[in-house]
Amino acid sequence: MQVEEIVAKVFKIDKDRVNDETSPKNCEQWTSLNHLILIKEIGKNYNIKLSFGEIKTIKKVSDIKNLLKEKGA
Amino acid sequence: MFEIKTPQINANDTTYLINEIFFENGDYVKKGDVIASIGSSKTVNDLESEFSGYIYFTKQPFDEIEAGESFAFCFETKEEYEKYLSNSNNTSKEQEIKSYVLTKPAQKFALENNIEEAQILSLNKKIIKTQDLQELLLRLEEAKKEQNNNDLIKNLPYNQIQSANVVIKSHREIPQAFHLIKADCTKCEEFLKEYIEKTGLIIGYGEITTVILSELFSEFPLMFSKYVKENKVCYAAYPIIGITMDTGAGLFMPSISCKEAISLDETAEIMFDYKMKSVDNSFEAQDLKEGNISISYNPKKNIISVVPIVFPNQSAMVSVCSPSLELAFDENKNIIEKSFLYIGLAFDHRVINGSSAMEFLSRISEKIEKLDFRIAKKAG
Repeated sequence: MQVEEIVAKVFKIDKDRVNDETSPKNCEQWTSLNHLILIKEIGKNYNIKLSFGEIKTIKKVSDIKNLLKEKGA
Repeated sequence: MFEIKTPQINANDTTYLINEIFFENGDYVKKGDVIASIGSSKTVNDLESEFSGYIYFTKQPFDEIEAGESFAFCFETKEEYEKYLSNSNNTSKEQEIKSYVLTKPAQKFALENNIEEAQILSLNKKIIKTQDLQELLLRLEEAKKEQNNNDLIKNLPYNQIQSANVVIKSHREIPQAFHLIKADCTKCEEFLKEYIEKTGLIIGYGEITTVILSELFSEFPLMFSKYVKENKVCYAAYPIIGITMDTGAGLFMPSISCKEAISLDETAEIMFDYKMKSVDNSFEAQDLKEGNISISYNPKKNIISVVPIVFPNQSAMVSVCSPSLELAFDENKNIIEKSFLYIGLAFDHRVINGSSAMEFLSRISEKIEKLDFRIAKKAG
């Protein structure tokens, strides 16, 4: 599953609304709770575990993609 | 063995009612003896035995019987009679149980209302009138309603039962009061945006309220105390702040022990860890230590206030929901948009009086409005 698909599924929004710049600032569904569920879903889908430091760097969708690239996922 | 059958008494009726039987089973009867009295719709008739011998009646008084139907058997010897009796004992009992007579209106009523034979048998009556069937129908309808209700009755989830027990205990034991204050959180909203941007930690008023409560401990120790008995309270040594957390895996109440006033940075990290644990229900026992004050945090959009319970062994619970945008006046009486947060306090009225509760809420509100809470960890 692509990152955009996971974000859309967790936030229960249309996939077309998700892009690299989607963030808590421009997406009201990106709440603190959904943020955590998103992290869990990303970890589960890509079989990775993100550290507290890594999670703190996630401020928009492109940050998730960069993290996944760094981790070779 | 001779069979005695019911004769056709008149041209109108094909079924009759046995009014009376004049012999006991096993009695010796002679040919021509009147053995029973049978009623048709118009007359009562005597039924004579056509044979001599030991008699066995297959019907009983008040049984319904058709013309030509077997009514009794007559045996030449006592041995023949007893042999028949032992063979047919079980069958006879069944027949005895299954026999009943419906009056004509009752037959009509049974047909119209689709009353089944088994249901009629459950009346355990020999003569069944319309009124019996009407009562039966009422009972059946009531039983059906009860069954429908039973089908709708299900067990509550275990978590809900546990919560209900706490709520019942709270309502039974604690005379609770509730106050609500409206705080201008416009500045705080700006601060939160910056904080989230800077740290990458998505926090809200749950974290901020935790920090503020830890700072108000020395000023309002009663808020952290618990009612013991006989007008005594037990003060807390330090704040242990419980906060509700529901991320879909159930409602949890992890707590933060604050031996010293805690900063927002520290709270944010601890709460982040708790939120992660609440997603997959991986809390450890120490995380769920009982607090001495609690926060009911409800960040769902458009929920502006909730009235929480006061937990047994505590005296107060603060409720914080999501802020709402409202129109307000600025210093120059211009209409501007502001964010407001409604902060509630449910408290044990035995321990805390109304004015203390208002003072406590005012201090929380003031700290939010002025951003007067510790953000960074203490150096060293």
